[in-house]
Amino acid sequence: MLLRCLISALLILMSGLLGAEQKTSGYQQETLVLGVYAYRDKQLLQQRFQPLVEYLSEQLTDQQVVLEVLSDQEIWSALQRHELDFVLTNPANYIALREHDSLSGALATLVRKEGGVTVNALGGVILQPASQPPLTELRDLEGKTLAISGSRYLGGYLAPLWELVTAQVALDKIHWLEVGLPHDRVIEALLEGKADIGFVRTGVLEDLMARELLAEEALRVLHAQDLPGFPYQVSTRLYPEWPLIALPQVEPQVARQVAAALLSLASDHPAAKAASIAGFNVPADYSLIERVMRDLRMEPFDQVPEVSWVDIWHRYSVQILAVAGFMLLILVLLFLLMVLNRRLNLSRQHLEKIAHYDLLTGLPNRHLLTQRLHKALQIAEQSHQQLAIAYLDLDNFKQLNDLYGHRFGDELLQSLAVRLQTQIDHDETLARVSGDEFVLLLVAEQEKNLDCRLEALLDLLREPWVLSRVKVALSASVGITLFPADQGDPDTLLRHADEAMFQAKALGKNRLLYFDASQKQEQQERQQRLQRLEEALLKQELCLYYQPKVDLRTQAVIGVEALIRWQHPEQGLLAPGAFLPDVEGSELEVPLGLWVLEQALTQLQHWHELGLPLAVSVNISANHLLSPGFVKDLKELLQRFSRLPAASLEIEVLETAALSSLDEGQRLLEECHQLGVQISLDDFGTGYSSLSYFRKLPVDILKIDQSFVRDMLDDQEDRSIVESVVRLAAAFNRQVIAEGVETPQHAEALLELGCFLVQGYGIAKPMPAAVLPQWLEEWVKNADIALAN
Amino acid sequence: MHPRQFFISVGLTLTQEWKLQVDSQRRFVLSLLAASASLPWLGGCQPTPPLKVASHVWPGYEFMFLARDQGWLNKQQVQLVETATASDSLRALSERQVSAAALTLDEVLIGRSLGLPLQVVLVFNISVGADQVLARPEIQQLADIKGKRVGAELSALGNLVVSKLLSAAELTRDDIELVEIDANDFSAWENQSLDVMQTYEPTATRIRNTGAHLLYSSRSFPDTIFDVLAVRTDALAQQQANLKHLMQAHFQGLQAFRQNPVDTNYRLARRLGVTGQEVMGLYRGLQLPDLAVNRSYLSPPSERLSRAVTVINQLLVESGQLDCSPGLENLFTPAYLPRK
Repeated sequence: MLLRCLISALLILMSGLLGAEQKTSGYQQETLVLGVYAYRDKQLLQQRFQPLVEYLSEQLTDQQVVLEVLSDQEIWSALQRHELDFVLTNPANYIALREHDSLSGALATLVRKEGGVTVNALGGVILQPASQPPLTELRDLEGKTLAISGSRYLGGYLAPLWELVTAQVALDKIHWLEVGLPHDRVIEALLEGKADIGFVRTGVLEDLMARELLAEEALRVLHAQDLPGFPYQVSTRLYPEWPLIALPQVEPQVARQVAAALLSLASDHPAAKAASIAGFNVPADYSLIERVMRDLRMEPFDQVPEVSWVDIWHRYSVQILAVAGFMLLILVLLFLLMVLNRRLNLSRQHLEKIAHYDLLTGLPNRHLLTQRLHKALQIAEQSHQQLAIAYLDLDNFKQLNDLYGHRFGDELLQSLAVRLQTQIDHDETLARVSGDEFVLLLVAEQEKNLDCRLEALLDLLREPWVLSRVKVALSASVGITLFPADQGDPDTLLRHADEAMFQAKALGKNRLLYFDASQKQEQQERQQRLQRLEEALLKQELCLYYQPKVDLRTQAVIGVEALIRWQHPEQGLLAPGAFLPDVEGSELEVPLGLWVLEQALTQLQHWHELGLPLAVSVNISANHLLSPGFVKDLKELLQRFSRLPAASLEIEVLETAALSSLDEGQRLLEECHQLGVQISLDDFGTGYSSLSYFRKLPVDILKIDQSFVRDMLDDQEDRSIVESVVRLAAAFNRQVIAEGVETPQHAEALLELGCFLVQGYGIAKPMPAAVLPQWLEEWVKNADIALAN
Repeated sequence: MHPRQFFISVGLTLTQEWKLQVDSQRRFVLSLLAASASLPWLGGCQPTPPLKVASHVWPGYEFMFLARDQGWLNKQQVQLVETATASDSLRALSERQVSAAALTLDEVLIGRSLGLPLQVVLVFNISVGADQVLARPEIQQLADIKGKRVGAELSALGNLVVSKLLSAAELTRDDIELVEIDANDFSAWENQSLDVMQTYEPTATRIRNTGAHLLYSSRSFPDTIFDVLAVRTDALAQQQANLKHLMQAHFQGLQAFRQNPVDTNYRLARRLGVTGQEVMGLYRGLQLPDLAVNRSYLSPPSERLSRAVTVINQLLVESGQLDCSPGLENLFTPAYLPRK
């Protein structure tokens, strides 16, 4: 506690002592130094400014002001030693000074007085000896020698230089000649011919002339400016006059007092007069000069800072960031685009795979198979190769699938694909076209080789399969078609192979079967012919011929058989043998049969109307007879021709037809018979009907096949058959008629055997309906002769 | 020419001009139709004629001329036409010799009342003392002018100043002997043996130098006398770019004046007819608004200008120079001011 009191007391004592010392130093008489820049003769300036310094000393209470007129170098040394408090210097110097010590400030701007005119501005004068040809443009200065006092002066260097720069004069083409202060030396250099051009500050020229040191006409002012009221000749724009600067160490209140004294200096004050100034103004704006100095890279702005990356960053950070951001954005977008492209590519590949390959086995699908087949066909055609298209279907796959599940089935198909693949050459194709169906597209050198290969393939299949611990046996049915034997597009070829495969299945599976191309060809042709025939029916190219039937006993014509003919526009009249075989079993069979029936009945009615009471027989095919609705159709027809006696229509049915479906045939014939229609059994003797069956058939007439009749004259056996039939008919109380009667001898023989009803070329050939009445007429007249012949 | 004669002649020219205009409008439509096909390739290669601007000598207008003399004004874009008075400028406008003119606001209003399609695009200056009434030393107070010879211009501006003077002195026109003079005419002061004279710079300085003193000035009624750039609206569309260039040059001149007054003073001196040292004095009575202030003056609702227009209108109607107050719509626009 005691110690603390002691220390604080000591501190108070010390601080009191220090304060007292500071105070005493403040009261000392101070000497302030005003440095004036020696732009002219030092002594002259000393004289001029001494009164001003004295004036200031008077105005200041506690300070004494002394004058120092200093050269450029001296001023700078003095400033470094802090020997100066105030400086009156040119604006360029001021700017340089402020750059060295930024706290220096202008207190006032000098206002000069020239011949009673106040001047608060200075500029530069560009001079040329009048003895030389005048330069009209500043650009003409290029290549000339130019004298200057030095490069640190505003009026004597900066101001004219700025005009040259503004006029875009190439400064490096000028030969600079530095002659030093005072400015008078520049003029000397010009007059002595050492330089072509000279720069001086405004006022120098007039001063020399006033002191009669220079003749008025000796020099010419270039780029002269017209500035009313400005007392000097000038070549440049004007700048503020010299500033009076207070250095930072000057106390503010002293600086204020000095400024007040300067501003209040009247122009008629002896001090002002001595210095030939009008006084001082408030400080002007010297920033323009600084800008000019910076632009001209004058000292101290001559050192260009090294541009580092940091500087660039500081200056252009926003732009750099923007550009970087933009580039990053582009990169990101590019990357995204790449990713997107890659994905698209992958998905395209995937789609292609899906489109062309089977996903389960990886084998080509039907689509790709068709394409490859297309190509293979072209190649095969050019190189005369044989192609085999083998359609392979597993025989028991469905059952295995049901038994062991789909997963098993899939597994089986996969390993099957692998196993089959081993059997395929690189230029051949194995494709999976559906569930358990595969197609092999093979190059077949020889059919035998092919057989071997395919058999080997089947053997491979038959080998036991062990999958998921299940052992199964497989077999397959294979349908094959060969190109070029089977001509067709890929689809047709595949269909043919498929058909053959189905046939192989139908034949008991587990085998190979070739598609029969020629059979197929015939079928197609038949189809075309049928089509043509159908057209013929519509175009009415078909017609009926009639062959008379005669009773040999009375020579009476008992009826006619209607026989179909085709008046083919190109092939002429065609007999039924040329086209009816095609019709058999076709869709055309029933319509054609009905057409014949209707046609015959129409004709018959016509004859009946003409008074020819004929009967007509029409051949009805077995299929037509057995087709549903035959009886109904017949009944309707008969109703339409109700004026004709039903018995005048006779239907001729082949014995084979009646036999092909025993019960059905019998029933149908019964029904026809009940309608009153006569029924004859055509070509009798060629079938194998049993007598018991024959007995049941409701047949009215037996028609002996012409093959027996034709040869009966020479062939005893045929004669016996004819005789038997005649007897049989008599025994069953049926009529009998012989066809194929070609000569009177046949007729005679038949008559002997008791067969009275005949038809054949010997009587008459089949003839058009229109010819028949005339034939009848002639037959009645000449029947005897005809038969006798 | 006598100012009154001028108004009559302007009236006549205008009537003739209307007919011409109607006719030329019709012709314009026809030529438009005819040219419509050839427009696409004509548009690009037809150079715009330079903008012609009429101006008499007035400190506020001088920055345009400074710009021209310093080479900041492209002659292909803008041509300055020097006139003797504002009335000459107004006539040049009506006769379509120029598309724009530097005028006081009241002159613009008269122009509009005569049918000239004028729009104010720039404020050069506001008079705060530049328009002056000078008096002989013995006239000490405003009231002393009663019964004295008062010289004044009978232009819109002169009337405005006289009206303000009389109302400040609480007198009427009958109380003084009004002598019509040219306010810019220095000799009138002596030749007409005037006691009081309405004038403005730079003539005012010259008269003051003879011993006259300032009795009254526009400082007493600020925000009333505006010097503006008025443009024919029918030329605006074509001259937009040139107009901007002109204003840019004006502001450049203004900036030079502010930055390096010692140099600019001497450069303005020649046209103003004074020495460089005297130039600053001419601008003492003027406010020189910069770009930003111009924008605030001209942007709707442009209150200060509108208020001035109302006052001027009233005075003009009272003095019989206007029949009625012309509409204010589209009188001011900041649209053509340069961006910076």
